[in-house]
Amino acid sequence: MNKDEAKERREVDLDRLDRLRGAVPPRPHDARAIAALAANPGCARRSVLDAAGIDKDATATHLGFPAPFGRSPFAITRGNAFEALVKESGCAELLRLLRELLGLPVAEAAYTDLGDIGGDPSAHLRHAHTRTLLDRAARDGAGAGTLYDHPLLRLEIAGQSAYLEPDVVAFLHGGRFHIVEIKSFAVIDGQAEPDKAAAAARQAAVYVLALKTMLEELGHDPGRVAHDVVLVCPENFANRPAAALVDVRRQLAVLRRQLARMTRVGTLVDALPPGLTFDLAPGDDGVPGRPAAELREAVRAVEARYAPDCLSTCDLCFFCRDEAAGQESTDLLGRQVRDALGGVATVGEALGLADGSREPGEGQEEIARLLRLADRMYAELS
Amino acid sequence: MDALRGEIRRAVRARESVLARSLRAELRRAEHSWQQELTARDSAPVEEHGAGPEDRHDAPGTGRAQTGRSAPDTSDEPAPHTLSDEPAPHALGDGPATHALGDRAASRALGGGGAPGARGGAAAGVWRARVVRPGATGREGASPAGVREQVCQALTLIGVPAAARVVVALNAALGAAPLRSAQIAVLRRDEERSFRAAPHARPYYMCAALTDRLSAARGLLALSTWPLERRAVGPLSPRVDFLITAIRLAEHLARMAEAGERPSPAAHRLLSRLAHNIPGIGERQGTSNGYPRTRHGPGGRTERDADGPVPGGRAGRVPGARGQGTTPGPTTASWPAAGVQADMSWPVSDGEPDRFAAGSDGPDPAAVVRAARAELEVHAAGDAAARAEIARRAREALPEAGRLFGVATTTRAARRPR
Ligand code: SF4
Repeated sequence: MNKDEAKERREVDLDRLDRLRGAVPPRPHDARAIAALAANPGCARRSVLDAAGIDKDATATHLGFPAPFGRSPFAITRGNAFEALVKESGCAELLRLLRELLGLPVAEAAYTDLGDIGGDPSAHLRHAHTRTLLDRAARDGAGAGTLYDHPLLRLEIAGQSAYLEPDVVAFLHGGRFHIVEIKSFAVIDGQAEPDKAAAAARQAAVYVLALKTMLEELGHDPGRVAHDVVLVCPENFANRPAAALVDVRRQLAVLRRQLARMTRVGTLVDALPPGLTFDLAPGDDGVPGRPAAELREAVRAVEARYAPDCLSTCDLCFFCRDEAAGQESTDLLGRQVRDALGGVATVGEALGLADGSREPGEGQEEIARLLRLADRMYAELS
Repeated sequence: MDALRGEIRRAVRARESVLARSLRAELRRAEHSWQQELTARDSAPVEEHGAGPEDRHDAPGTGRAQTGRSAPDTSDEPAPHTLSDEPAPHALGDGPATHALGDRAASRALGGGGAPGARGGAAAGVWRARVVRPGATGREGASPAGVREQVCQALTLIGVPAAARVVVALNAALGAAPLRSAQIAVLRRDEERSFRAAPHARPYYMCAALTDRLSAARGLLALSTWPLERRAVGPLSPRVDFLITAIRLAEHLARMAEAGERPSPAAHRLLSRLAHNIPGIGERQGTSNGYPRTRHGPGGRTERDADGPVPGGRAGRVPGARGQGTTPGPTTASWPAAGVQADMSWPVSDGEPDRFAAGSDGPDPAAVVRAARAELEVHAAGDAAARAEIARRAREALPEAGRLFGVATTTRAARRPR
């Protein structure tokens, strides 16, 4: 494919994606949404909906399965209070943590608020400002600042640019940028809740990628962004911040793969029925005018790959779970079980194979043998 | 009230819901009148000076515990009481408990006696008003003029621009009537309006600190009587001003001690918090700062490797985090994921700050001053140069109002610092 063809092809894609979305503006991706892309990379449904910029939350609500997200106001207050604590007085707490964790020299204490440029600037302006200052920081070498608060980053997602407004600090030390992410979930005796820590790592990876991209565009080595992010959390209920380094290389790789996949979403889209749309255009009363049943059929036309961790990452989770339950899908049992049961699509089928009431199909002999074995063992035990 | 609470618990345990409900109502009534009492006391601190400090301290202290504990009964927010039992950061702002309430009296009551973490702050405030206040005028109480006076007093003590949260905390440490960040925001807008309407009608104004773009630095308060250099904020200024704040507060506490006055717990707590973030104080007191698992202690690497590969990154990596990234597994994060057990990488604090917070004496003010001065020396020259440059540009480019309040301040005023 030469360049023109590629371009044309892309335009067709975008056009098609616009039609999929219908008469509503694309929903900008925030870091949480982008991070979630890396959570279930195998799901075509989400790839398509995200690539088209469809509001999954509104879709889920219209389908009658509103998403379980939305943090409680108290959690938000707590999060903001903790962040304010860490950032107070020129990030005094954060400086202490960085000095302890990374041996940041005392002399490196400069703090620049990239968000504070006077007036009420647009995202575009602020992004330009972030670029200018980080460019200068990357060039300046020894004379550069240290902490850069409120950077406004940008990431290209399936042809749209998404502005990311991380509540993080980019931090420059020894010529390398680090992302600092402040989260208010507690770390107790050195343990954080795994799914929260995982989500934080995924989200930090989004910022790392965006910062790498920015440096690259500015002609710097993207390798100057460390893939170790500094995660700051309250410790042992005491609200006293503590910091740890988290390696996000793997999350970064998944994210990259997923973003590349989204730009190639064309192949997925091509396979969809031609007239398909997920239009949510509001009627006179402000709610989507389209009958929910029609929307349901449309959403079902794109294959999903439900896994229990969708529950914490995807707005459509209740819908997909319901669908998977209706089909008795082994997906419901989690990825590990599903993979172990490769080739067996439903729970009923698996049970049939296990008790011998069902003959294994082609390629199912091995799994059927294992299931029967498990069934015998289970019978002996119980 | 405790008896009532005990009854409720028993009733709930016995599933006597009707009884529990009526008891709860009674408790709420009791608490309500208690709060009113508290509010009344709050607004009339001057009259309270007759009694001894201990009494004062006790009363609002109890109030804190009670209003704190009552929260789960009366609101959906589960945490205020949890937070209030900690050496909480919320001491510095209006905590979650206070600003959620629309009701002025209630929030005053909470803010006065019950703000999470302000434990004893207001209490101390009432009695220490007698000690500290004479220098200021105590007569306005909590009127706007009084707020202005208090803010000015806190700023004058430290002599550098400060965020509203810091002003609130300093004010509590000085023992004045409690302030809320919201009051300060209103005041700040008011000052600008007043100056623009009738310049120099007042002897001083609360004004802005200026960024290098000559706009008002987000969230910072300053006094118009300060030289422009002091109100300019360069990259190192937040750190410098933080150190100066610690020095000034420590000096103030030392002066009080010299004069035989007992500084309030709120003042000690604030100094502890500031001291905690200044290198060299923890070690002097014989504790490492609780990060034994990193390969080097704080200050261990004072030179950065000019362009060596991954300075910091590897060296500072905590054991345990290493290698997690390569652990196979489709969904787990590379770190704190389930597999990481007892030797987890999270640095565990040895409780040093808590010793500060819990102890009655807090850190030694002289040690704080020494340590802060030591770091200050590192930054002073660079900071002064940056500030002078900003001040010079402001003098050249801005009219007087702009020099005081920054350019484009009107849109900014509406924005909340994030
Ligand atoms: S909830 Fe549904 S759409 Fe979302 S990722 Fe899971 S399977 Fe895909």
